[in-house]
Amino acid sequence: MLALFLGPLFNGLFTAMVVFLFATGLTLVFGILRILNFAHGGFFMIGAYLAFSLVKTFASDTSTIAYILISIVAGIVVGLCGLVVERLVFRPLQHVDEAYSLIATYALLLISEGAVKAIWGVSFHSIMTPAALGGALIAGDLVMPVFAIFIIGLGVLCYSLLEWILQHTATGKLMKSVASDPWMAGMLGVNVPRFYAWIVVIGFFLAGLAGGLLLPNQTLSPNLASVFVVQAFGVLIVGGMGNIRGTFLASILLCVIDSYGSVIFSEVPGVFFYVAMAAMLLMRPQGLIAGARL
Amino acid sequence: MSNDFSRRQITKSLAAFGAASAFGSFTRPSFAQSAPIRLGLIAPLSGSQEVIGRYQLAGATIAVNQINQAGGVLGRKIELVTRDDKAAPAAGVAAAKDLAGNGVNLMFGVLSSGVALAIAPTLQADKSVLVVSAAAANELTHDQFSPNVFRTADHAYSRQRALAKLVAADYPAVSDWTAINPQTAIGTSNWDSFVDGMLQFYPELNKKPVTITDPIWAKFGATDYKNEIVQLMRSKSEGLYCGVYGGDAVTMFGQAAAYGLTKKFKVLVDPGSEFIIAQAMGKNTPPGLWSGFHWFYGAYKGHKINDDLYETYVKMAGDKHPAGYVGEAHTSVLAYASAIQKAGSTDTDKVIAALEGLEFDSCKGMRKIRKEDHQAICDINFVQFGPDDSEQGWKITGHRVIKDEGLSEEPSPGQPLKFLYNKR
Repeated sequence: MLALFLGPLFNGLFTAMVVFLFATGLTLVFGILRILNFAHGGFFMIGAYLAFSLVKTFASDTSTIAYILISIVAGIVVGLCGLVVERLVFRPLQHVDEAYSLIATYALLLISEGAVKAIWGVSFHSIMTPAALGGALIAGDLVMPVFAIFIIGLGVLCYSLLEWILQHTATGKLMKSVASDPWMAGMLGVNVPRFYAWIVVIGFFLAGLAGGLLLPNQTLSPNLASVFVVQAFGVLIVGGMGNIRGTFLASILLCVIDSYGSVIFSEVPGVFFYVAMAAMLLMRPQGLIAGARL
Repeated sequence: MSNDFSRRQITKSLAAFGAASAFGSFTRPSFAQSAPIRLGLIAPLSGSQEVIGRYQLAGATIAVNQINQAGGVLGRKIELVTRDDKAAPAAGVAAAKDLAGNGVNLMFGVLSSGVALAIAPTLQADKSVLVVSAAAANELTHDQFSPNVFRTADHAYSRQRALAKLVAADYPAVSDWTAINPQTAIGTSNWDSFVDGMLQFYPELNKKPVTITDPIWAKFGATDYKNEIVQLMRSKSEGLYCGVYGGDAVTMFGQAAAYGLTKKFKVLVDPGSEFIIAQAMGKNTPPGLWSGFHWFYGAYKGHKINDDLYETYVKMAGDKHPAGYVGEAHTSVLAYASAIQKAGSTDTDKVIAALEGLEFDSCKGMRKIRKEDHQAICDINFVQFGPDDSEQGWKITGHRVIKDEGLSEEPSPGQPLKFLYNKR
């Protein structure tokens, strides 16, 4: 009985944190630069493939530490890619219509997919969960995979860290001020272009990191870029367009509703994410956390 | 060992044999008797199913090269013209229209049933023929039958009933089955066909009834299967039909490891992932998993067409494990070659007449295309996989060839498929 009621909650929370980890970088970049980065999924995928190659090369029996370190390395490499993208794509497009950046980031997505095919091929790959994160905790008839608990914890930790930085540090306050009025921030001496570059690097780093961390949960294929994109944009919109807290809450809300929906109405799996999204937008078209950037 | 082969390798091969499909699309149609016979391959050469499309291209290329090296058909070379359907119906129809517009009336390939079903109604108006090399939907030879469509591969009904026959014979102690299926037309079709086979063969072979428990339905392309896995773990069934296939099956089995799903079920079967699960999961391949194959090269060693195809493929792609799609695309070209030879012409109506009732040899032996519904009757292949300590990480632990004797339904073109035993 425990599994019947708490199982969908647990599984929904897990999916929510997967989506949140994916969407964090997307939210950050949109919240500050107002660029809807369609290529985010592509760089998430590159992070996953990089982590896969590192695991295959250096750590066939991956320890948890190695898995985390490899994910961080993947994040750093993707972050550096972000620096190039910022210089070559985002910066020239800052003062033109948003439609151009949409087209440019979509082109980037196609390029990243092509790069993955050229480097890693089109076959499917997978790696298993590190041994220490394998297995499951059992409470009554409720089975909770350790890896799922790890990802839930990681999602909460990531959110808490970002929330603390944004609300309680000078860096966070600077980020919020640049997000709300970059011109004024520039007038007050902030090097806005450099600040933007850092935000893009961090956003891409988070995409690559998420790719590495979520690698044991997904099958690798050049299709991976688009796997979470719809859900991520869904939580971004419902959350309030570029608000970390909103994205976090929307991830939980939509994914948990979807999880219960998939169990109760098992003949229409996956529909309830969109039903909940539509309902939320009807009730709160401005999003869960309206008006506040980041 | 990777199963990838790069565009460069394929292009080299095409150039070497003078069957450059990419350039073929730019050549003007010629009606001179000495001009090459142009066959149009419609396959997913980009998008999520590109990996399969590449197999189809490889098989077709090898067949064309072999035929041309042997002197061609009616003294004419064959030229391959490729079009990308992206595994999307609209792109498939556009590809077929484009081929027809360029004077290519003989087409083959098509992986996705949705694409095949979308193309089928357009063929008569365009005076074209489509030989389906992979799409398995039963509807193609039933309620959505088109006189211009043929299928040289096995179909969902025969394949899944063959799978049922296999498990009913090999695992008599496993009398309770359930499934996890994708919420797609082919997912439903596969499961219904498997159930039909189980309800017939299990009681016939084991003299006791079989129990079929309602399947768990999953979203096609889902990223998370935990809720479905939890439901499967609560099931009392001992046999699991894993209808989610390909990359989805890899994701599902990967996520299921923590729950011990593969240990809970005594038998695991898969409708047609072929090598995908084993190659992706390596040492974590579910032990004893049976997978449906369009063609398994290892089952036909000593058969010249099989051996030549296998050796050429390995040399061309550097991959020792060709997927069944290689063999099926190869087979469709052979079917056209036989039909054109028989008809003495590439005229659409004459080729259709020649394909009807055609018997021809292929990489998995003789096949016969039924005159009534244009469905080929052929062997059905299954391979069993398991983990291994080798570098590859997996091994083939068995394979089976099941003859289509009483597996396919009676032809009923234009009519919906009637299940004999599954009366749901």
